[in-house]
Amino acid sequence: MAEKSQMSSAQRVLCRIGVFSVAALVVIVLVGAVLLGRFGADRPVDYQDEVEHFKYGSLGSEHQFGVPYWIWRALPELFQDKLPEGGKGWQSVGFVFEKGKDLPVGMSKRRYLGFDLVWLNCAFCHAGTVRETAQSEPKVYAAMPANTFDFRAFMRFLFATGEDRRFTPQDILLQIDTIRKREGLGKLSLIDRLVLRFYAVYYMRERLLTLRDRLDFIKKEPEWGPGRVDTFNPLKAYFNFPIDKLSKEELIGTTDFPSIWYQGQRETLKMNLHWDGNNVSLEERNRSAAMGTGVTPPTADRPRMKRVADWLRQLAAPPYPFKIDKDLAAQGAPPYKKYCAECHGANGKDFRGEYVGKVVPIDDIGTDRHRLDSYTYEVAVNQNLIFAGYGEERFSHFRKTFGYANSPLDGIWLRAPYLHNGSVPTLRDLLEPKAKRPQTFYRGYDVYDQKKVGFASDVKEEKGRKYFLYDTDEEKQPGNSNKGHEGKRFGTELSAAEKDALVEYLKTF
Amino acid sequence: MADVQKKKSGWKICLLVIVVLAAVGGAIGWYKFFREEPQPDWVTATPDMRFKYGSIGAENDAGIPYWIFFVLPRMFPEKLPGPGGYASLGVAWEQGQELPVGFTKKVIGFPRVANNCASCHTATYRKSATENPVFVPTGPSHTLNLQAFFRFVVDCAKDPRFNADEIMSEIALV
Repeated sequence: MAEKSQMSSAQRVLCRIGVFSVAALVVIVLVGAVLLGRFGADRPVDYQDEVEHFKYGSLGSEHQFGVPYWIWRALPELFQDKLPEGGKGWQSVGFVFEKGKDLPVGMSKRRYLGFDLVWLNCAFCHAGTVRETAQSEPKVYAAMPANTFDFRAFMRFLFATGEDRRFTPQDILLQIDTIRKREGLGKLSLIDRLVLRFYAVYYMRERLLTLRDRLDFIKKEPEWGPGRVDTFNPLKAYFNFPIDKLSKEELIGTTDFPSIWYQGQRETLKMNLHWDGNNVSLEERNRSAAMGTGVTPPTADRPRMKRVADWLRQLAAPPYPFKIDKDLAAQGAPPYKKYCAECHGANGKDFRGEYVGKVVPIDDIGTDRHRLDSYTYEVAVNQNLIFAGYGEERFSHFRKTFGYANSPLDGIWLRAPYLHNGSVPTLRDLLEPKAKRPQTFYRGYDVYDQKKVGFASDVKEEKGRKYFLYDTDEEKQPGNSNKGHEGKRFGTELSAAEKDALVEYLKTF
Repeated sequence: MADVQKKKSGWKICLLVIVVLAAVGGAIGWYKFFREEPQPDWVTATPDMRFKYGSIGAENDAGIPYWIFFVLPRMFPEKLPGPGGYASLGVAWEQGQELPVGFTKKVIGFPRVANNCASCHTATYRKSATENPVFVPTGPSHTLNLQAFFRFVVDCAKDPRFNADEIMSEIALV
């Protein structure tokens, strides 16, 4: 009798341990499931329409660089004093906002690690606006160069906030609450508040300051201004090359953002891509450009990137929306055929021509050589390691060239200012020799100059917004020279009437 | 009586379990650390390529794990003679190639990088400053700073940042 009760008490203890363990396991699994549900999702905001996907769809840059949506909203309000003079909101660094949107063109949103994170996609460098007059509403064109976006002003602002003593959880959360109250939203959820309060703000500040240091060398370059960027020097910072040991000649590589429509024909005709024609592979060029938005090999959203790439292959250039004098344009066709077609293609849709997409030696074309010199053999071979470990995706097509590549002129009306460094404001100016081209002009203004074909470049300020004074003096602003692409072969010796006709004809491209 | 029988078969079961675990562990270990994969076909396609990129067997004793080799220039650029990653060593590096001439990649369990004859015996020349280099296998590598390469790997290993945490998080970025 006594034995039985002893065994059963031992059994009871074991039983209790067993039950407790199972209960603990159930609790752990439940809590784990909740946490996974809250923090484990990776869900971008998707769009049915291809244009919307281009403007707002995610390429995966949020994984590495995503900023919590509410911090993004708070920054321009909390640090308004750090925006360019007199500026208000992200518009003041040149971001484009469409009606009813809370995020600018070029910014995507993704639910990742428990938060709505936002960061950039192709459209922040490759979408812009045009206004017919100063009173018109701006029209957004996808895949055009981002004519209003001032990349350095954007970086300067972000880094300035990270350095400011107000970049604290308390100040930022307070600003977020202010905005949410104004929009009739409740307070942030408890978990949101806790993560932002104890982690996210500090993490973001540390990353801003690290990025600031890695990109510090950019301060020594002449100002890029709206619509321009140094393409390959930031890549050297990505590789962690010691920038202070680079040769002086390669430290300025500023170029004008290009348009990216009609990529399919460029691919089939095996054109050399990028201003200096350093890559013949469209897919590789796309992956390389995507890295400019913050996409990395492990975090790229490949299906969504492919969707953009496929759309760009067949995307037509927007036709010139203003009046074209058809008779005058017809007179421009013969000089175009004689002087331009060999290098720039038969017209805006047929890119065939003996030298289309080929690299022209720098001494032949005579344009500013800083961009060419910024891209070195060392960079080209180091790029062979990008996407290594991902099979066919590993970069293998970058080549060091010694000139600039001829591009077709599809949608050329929308690609102003001209030449690789955006140093000539209008097509009509480009047909003049350097001595007669504008020595200084304003960039970033989006009202169109229908006579000379390009953006109006004589407006210094409008409604409190200041535009960027571009100086082509290569002593004062190395890399900015507007020389080159001049001489008989380039049409600068035609008569004024012939030049007018040629420009009118180019409106049809 | 029943007890003794239980002990004997219990011992046999234990042994069986140990043998099975050892076999599985051995198989995994062989796969992860010793399994040799032949280099891709393009390496041995021509004598030229075989000389430049073919393994001569150094990976076993002197191979650096590929991904560690990959991230070292990014983690420790100050230990190289100049900017340019491995290019700063004056290696012959063909455009489009993952690794410089003379650096062989072979999988022995995991991908490893070692050197072959071509590291020191590939000459380079350019006809002018505005042309890309031409590489001549079996010539002398007059541009290669070999000592800088040795110094680099040793200096990296001596650095306190050369540890699993730092290196693995750097590898995770690429």
